[in-house]
This record gives sequence, structure tokens and C-alpha cells, in this order.
Amino acid sequence: MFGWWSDAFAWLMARARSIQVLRGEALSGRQRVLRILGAAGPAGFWLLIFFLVPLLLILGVSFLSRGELGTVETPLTFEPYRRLAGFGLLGFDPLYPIILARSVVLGAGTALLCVICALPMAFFIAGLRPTWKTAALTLVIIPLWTNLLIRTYAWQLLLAPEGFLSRAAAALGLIEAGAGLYPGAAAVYACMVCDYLPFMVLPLYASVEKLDWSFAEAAMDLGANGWNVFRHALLPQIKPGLFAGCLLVFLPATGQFVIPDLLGGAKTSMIGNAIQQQFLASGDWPFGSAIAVVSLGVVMLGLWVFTRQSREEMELL
Amino acid sequence: MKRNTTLLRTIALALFLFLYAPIVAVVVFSFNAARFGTGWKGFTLEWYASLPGNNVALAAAWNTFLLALCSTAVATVLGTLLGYALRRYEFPGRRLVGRLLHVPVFVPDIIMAVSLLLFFGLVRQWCGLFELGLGTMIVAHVTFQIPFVAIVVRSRLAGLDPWLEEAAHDLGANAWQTFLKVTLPLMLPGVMAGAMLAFTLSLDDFVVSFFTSGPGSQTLPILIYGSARRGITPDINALSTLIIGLSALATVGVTLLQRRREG
Amino acid sequence: MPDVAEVTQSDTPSVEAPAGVSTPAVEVTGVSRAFSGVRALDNVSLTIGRGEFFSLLGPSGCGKTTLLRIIAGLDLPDSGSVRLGGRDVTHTPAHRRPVNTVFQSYALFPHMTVRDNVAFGLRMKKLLAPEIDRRVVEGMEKTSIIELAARRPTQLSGGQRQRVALARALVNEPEVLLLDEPLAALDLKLRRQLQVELHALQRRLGITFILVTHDQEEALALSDRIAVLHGGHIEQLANGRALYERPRTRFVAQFLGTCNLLPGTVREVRGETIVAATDLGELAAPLEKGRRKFSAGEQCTLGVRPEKIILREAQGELRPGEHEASILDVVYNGPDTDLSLQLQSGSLKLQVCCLNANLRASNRQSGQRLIVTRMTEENLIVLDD
Repeated sequence: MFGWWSDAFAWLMARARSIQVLRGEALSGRQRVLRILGAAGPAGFWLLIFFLVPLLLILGVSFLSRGELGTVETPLTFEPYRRLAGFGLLGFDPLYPIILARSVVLGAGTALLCVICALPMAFFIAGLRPTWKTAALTLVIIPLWTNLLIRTYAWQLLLAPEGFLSRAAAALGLIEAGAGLYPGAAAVYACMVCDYLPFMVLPLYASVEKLDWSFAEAAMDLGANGWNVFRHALLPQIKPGLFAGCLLVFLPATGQFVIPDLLGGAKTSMIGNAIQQQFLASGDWPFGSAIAVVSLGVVMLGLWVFTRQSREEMELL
Repeated sequence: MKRNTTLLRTIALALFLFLYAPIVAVVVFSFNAARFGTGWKGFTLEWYASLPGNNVALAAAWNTFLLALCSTAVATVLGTLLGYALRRYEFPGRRLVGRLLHVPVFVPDIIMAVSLLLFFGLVRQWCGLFELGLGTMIVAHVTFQIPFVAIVVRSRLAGLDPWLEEAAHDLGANAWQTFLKVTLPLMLPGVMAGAMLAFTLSLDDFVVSFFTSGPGSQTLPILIYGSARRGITPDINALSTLIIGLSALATVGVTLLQRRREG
Repeated sequence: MPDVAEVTQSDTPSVEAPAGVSTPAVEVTGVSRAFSGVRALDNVSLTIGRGEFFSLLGPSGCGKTTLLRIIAGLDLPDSGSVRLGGRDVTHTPAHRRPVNTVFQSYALFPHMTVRDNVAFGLRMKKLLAPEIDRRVVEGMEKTSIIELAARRPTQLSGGQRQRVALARALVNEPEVLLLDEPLAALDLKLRRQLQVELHALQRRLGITFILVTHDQEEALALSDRIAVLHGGHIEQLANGRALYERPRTRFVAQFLGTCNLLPGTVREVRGETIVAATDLGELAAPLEKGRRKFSAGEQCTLGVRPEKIILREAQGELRPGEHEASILDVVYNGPDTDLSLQLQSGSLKLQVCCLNANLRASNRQSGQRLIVTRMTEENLIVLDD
């Protein structure tokens, strides 16, 4: 046991020669290693124990069998994953594949709607005078720092059956008379877009603010109409902001559970709801873990795709 | 620079109204005398008056604040040191760690929450530690706060002249004196920004708190969630309005502070 | 023989300090430093005497800043040692060395006033407040910044910041003051003015100054001795006059001023003179003691400075040793004119610099014929590769 520690320290010493302090004192290898361990060590250690290990546990548990309520037992099995793919004990049950698909669609749909709403807002703010600009940005940030739960349950008030909006929708024939927009998919989408809009507006605004309008002027000079001017002269420049915003909206939105839980009702269950249900209500930890693993996989995939895309975008720019 | 057209102005204003619709609704309904339902039944302040006597709400508020304070303190220290190490020291794996730091930022909070629930549960079976309660909530909050603080501190350090620490050494300051007299004062705005971010994240957090809380460690968001599931009582609207007011004040205050420092 | 009475030269790079000084202020022995496989310093040794104004001169990447940082203690050499005033300080950290640095970017603490900046080193030494105040005021007066005491660095101009950096370093009464290209960021006029002030300050204080610069005029104007660095080692270490009049290598000859290169073959070696056959005929050049040996038949390079080439009108017969040339280009510089000449015989091009008081050089035009007179021995230099 002790031998392993001294071996590890010897390896660190050898690596210490390649460790440079970027600026600052000239330190010997041993001092450098101690400094770095002292500074990055505590936080790194903490994250290792309380972030990485739990995630690995989730991965491990997803391959175990369900024990009694809240425990797990050792027979290793792929059962949870098969159930996720739809092959449950009683034949093909598309419940969970549908839930997964629905979550992805919700995330993508929210991102798309946010883009549509954020574009005019970003351009509007960029066209304001400096003092008004700061005021407008502050107005966008305030909802961001207001508790998500408050902004979510508020839609219960806004879209209640006897509320103005629901009655208007019923009058237009969009929903049955007497029913409300809440609970329902419309409420979920409205709330998601409203809650995530600042996350799209801010990065998009950062890109729009830096726009070089001479491209647009050149395009107009060459006879392009409004849409083509936007598409060829402006859109390529704001791509980084768009990508950042989509990332900040799509990834959290797929894992969202509070909003569908409070506003969605039974038919709009998402990944988040499924995970919560398995862990708290059903006590089927392996299954819940499997859902979490798959969901995490989707997130990591999205993150990877984004970072590769954005690197290409950056190089093109 | 293009001038805003009237069309753009109208659309943008409508979108701003959409953005604020929930906030306005909560504020308006906090003055609604109706005990339930959403019909308007007159203006009243009774819901606000009932708050000081609402022990559950007060306990939740106290928990929320205490949790945010403790977790921010721990996370700021750990995150600042990590951010400093990532900027100042070159070591094998530095870039990897830097990129890995973004992972906790993007992991959905529900996944982090259940993983910690699992972790605490298993450790509890093994050696009895980590009973769910304020302690586990603090641990959980610190875990998601550290990456944010580290990222903020690291990017703020980028604007710091690296020669300043060398100059301090040259003038006779040892490592500790340099850190206290030169590095820390110059890093302080970044550390403060990181701390504020961590504090706000903790205050607003619901999912992680929900999964790692125990009996008696309810926070305001958990309280509001419970109420929203059962059916909103009007005093919750009053409570929420107060929270909205504080958030708005804090945001405006921070913006003004930033402008004054930059100006 | 050339008048090089003031020259102090030695055949080995480890040069002794000027005679008459007891313990040298700085002794660098066999210092090497490599970064990621690239050798920034290669077995460098030198000695600097007390009260000397010493310069490390060279192009960017030659290792001069690395050497300065090693002397300051801001970097550890891979091998070798540094002694200050006779004491080995190789492993002493920077904050304990009696050395202070003026940084290229000044590195003034932005969160402190000028006064606090200047007082910083004294505060670190934990001196008493009245003593600190006295020395700070004295230091600020010496560098003419006393009226800036309450200002912040961001409110100062480049020249003012430079003076604050200087005061901050000097107030600690270091044994050696290191200056890392301190005037590089300033415009020409300000630079010249501060160079004069710097020189006067050093003379007044008697502190050893080590200046790092890539500006050869600056080094020549300010220094007692200069070490020319190239690729991590010292090419030549001597006073300015010796470096300019008697450069040893092609690099030094072309780094300090311009030098015409005359490739040739050694005909014979007579004691301290070499006779070589070049495009300008047979020329004799002095070879000092301690230089490497040349043998007949070997390739060699001679050098001659542009202002040492004498021209005359293209009239009359060519006397022995003279060559005809035609003007390629004329560049007017004010007090003098640069002429590019092409020899009629062969492909050799010469750069010549003529005072406009002589030869009416400013009125010359390209295409005109001139005669290059015989090169005398004292104007020629033997150059190592």
C-alpha cells in the first residue's frame, strides 16, 4: 500500500519537470507539484467524489437488478435498457421510446421557437441607444434570475380554464369549451419558451451586436431583397450566437421535468418525469438509472456535436 | 447601424410582454382577494400580512438562505483555487480538466440529483453518513457551484497582467505576500462575480434540493413546488412576488455596480 | 595599429571585469536553459563589475531576456550558477535577491497609487513607516515623479510609467538593477530623452545596471560594456567601441551597424596580419592575439564599414589598389548619404556612407562613376563565421 503511494509520488516528480509555472517565481519541481496540488486539489477531489463517482454509480446501478424498495441486488442484467428500448416483460411497449422521443422533440421545438422569438428581440436591442440598451438587457436578465418555479406555476394562473386566454382559445375553437389550455402540451410549450427565451436572447444579442452591416449594404447594393440579405449577409455572422443559444436551450430542455410535471398533465410525460417517478415513486433504481444514462448520453452527444460544429464555424469566420 | 423599424419595435415589445407575462400574473394575483380560482375579487394586502405568521414559509426561507450562504462560501474558496490553478500553472492534463469543467454545467440537474441520491443512499447503507437533510443539500449545491466559480474566476484572470506577480516577487514579496497584496485584490472582482453566481444558483435551485432534502430541510422552491402541485394558495403568490422583487432589485443593483466600476 | 586602448577583450567568453574592481557584482557561470527542447541559453558565462552599465544586446529570441530573468531569480537555470557580490544565489528565490527589475511592460500595480507602488518593496522588507516615507519621497524626487504621487498607473503616460517603474526598483537600493527593454514602448524622442536621464542616473547612483535591448544604438550610447547574444550564446563581449571597430564574427559586424563583407582566400599569415585575395585585390587585415588560427588557402571573410571606404572622383589613372565603381542607389540621410556601388570588375556590391560635407555625395545620381580608393589595413576586419 505504501509502495504504491511512493511510486505515485515518484511519477509525479518525473512529470514535475514538464510542469511550468506560467509566470511567477522560479520553483523547483517538488514545489510546483505541491503548489498545483494545493490549489487544484481540493476542488478536484471534491468533484471527483461528489460528481464523478455518483455518475459512475448510476452507470453501474443501471446494470443491476431491482431489489426491494430503494435497494439494488447483484444479478447483472440488461433488463432496464431493454425496457427502455421498448422490449418489456409483456412484449413490445413503446412507452419509453415515445417518452424519449417526446423529450427530444420538446427540446428541439423549444429551441426553434426560442430562435424565432429571440431574433427580433436581439436585433431590436442592438438598435437601441446605449442607455436604453443596458435597460433592455437588464429587463431580459431579470426573469433569468427569477426563480423558475415561480415563472412556471404562473402559467397555471394564466392558462386556467376560466382565464382570459383559455376562454379566447375556446372561442376560437382551438380547444373544447370549458377545458383550459392548462394542463396540456400548449401550456408546456408556452412556459418552456418563455422560461428559456433569455438563454437564447443573450448569446444571440452578443453576436448581433458585433454585426458588420457593410455586408448587408453590399448585398442590397447588389440587388438582394430583404430575405436574401438576411440569409447571406447576416445569418453567417450570427451563427456562433445561434449555436450557443441553441445549446443553452436544447440541452437543459430535454432534461426538464418541473415544467411538464406542473403544466403537462398525464399525457406529456418526459424523461425527467420518468426518472423522478422511478427513483421516488416506484423505487426501481436500476431502471431509473438506465433512463438517466441514456438521457446523459443524449446530452453528451449534443455537446460533442455542438463543439465540433462551432469549431468549424469559428474557423470559417 | 440600422434604425429600428416600427414593425420591429412592435414585435419586440410584444415579445417582452410575453416574457414578463408570468411575472406580471403572479404580482397581480398576489393582490387578488379571491381565496381560490383565478377570478378577480378585489384588491387586498391580506396575503402579505399573513406571511410573517407563516412558520412554514419562514422556516423554508431561513433554510434557503442558510443553504445558499454555506454552500457559496465553500464553493467560492474551492472554485477560486481551481480557477487560479487552471490559469496560472501549466501541468499535464490542464486543457482536459479545463474542458471537463464544462461538463457539470451542462449535465441536466435531475441526473446530478438522482446520482447524488443514489450515492448518499449507498454510503448511508455502508456507514450511516449522509442522512438526507441540510448537510446533504449543502454538499450537493457545492458540487454544482464549483465549476461555475472556477470558470468565472479563470476567465477573469485572463485579463490580469501576469507580469504583476513577477514584479511583486522581484520587489521582495514571497509567495504568500504576493497572493495577499497583489493577486487577491486584483482577482477580487472575479471572485465576487463567481460568488454571486454561485449564490444565485443556490437560491434558485429546485431539482437538486428536492432530491437531496430531508424532513425539515425544505427550501422556498420546494415549498412553492408543493403548493403548485396541490393547488396554489394566494399567500404563495405574495411570497413569490417578494422573491421577484428581491431578484429584480439584486439584478438592477449588480448592473449599476458593474457600470459604475467600468465607467 | 588601431587605437583600441580602451578595448577590453578576451578570447574566452568568460570575460573578466575591468581591472581595479574587487568582487564583481554579477558572475554568471555555465548557465544553460532550455524550453521544450529549444535551447534558450547555451553554457553562458560572464562577469559584470560593480558600478558598470552593462548591456545584453541581441535580436529577439537570442536568450537575453532569459538570462536577465535568471539573474533576477524569476527563472531557474537548468545548469550553471549565478553569484551576486560573491555570494551564490542560484537557488535563492527572487524575493530574497538584492536585485530589482524594471519590466518591459512596467508591471505597475493598477490597484495602488504611484506612491504605494514605489513603497511596495520597502513595505515587504517591513521597514518602519517614517523610513519608508523618507526613501519614497527621495526616490520620487530623483526620478522627477513627485507630483504624480497620488495618481493611479492608468492615469499616467508611457514616459511617466517608466519613471515610476524605475523609482519603484531603485528605492530598494539594490546591488544590481535589471532593465528589460524599458524604453521599447516609447516613441523616439522620448526614448532619447530617457536614455540620457538613465545614463546620468546610473553615473550619479553608481549602481550596477544591466540593460537588455535589441536597439544597438541604445546599447552603444549607454553601456560601459556590451554582450552580444545570438542563439543562446555570447558572440562577443566588449565595450561599444571594440564591438563596432573590431567585431569578431559576421553576426556582430552586421548586427551593430552595417558591414560590407568581402569573401576571400588567405594568401599568407604574417604574425598579426592576414593577407587575403578578394574581389578588391590583395588586402591585408589585422588579426588580434587570441583569435583562431588561419592557414594559407583557407576561405575567410573580411569586413569593412561603410564610412571607412574612401571614394574619389573618376578622374585620372587608377592607382594601385583602386577600383572603379558605378552608383546603383543614393539614399539621403541628412548629415550623410548612403551610396550603393557596383564594382566594374566582378559582381561585388559595396555600401558606402559619405558625409555630405565631403565629395558632395548628396548630389550624386545612380549611374555615375566613382573610384574606390585603396583600403588601408586599419580599416579592415577579419571576421569569423
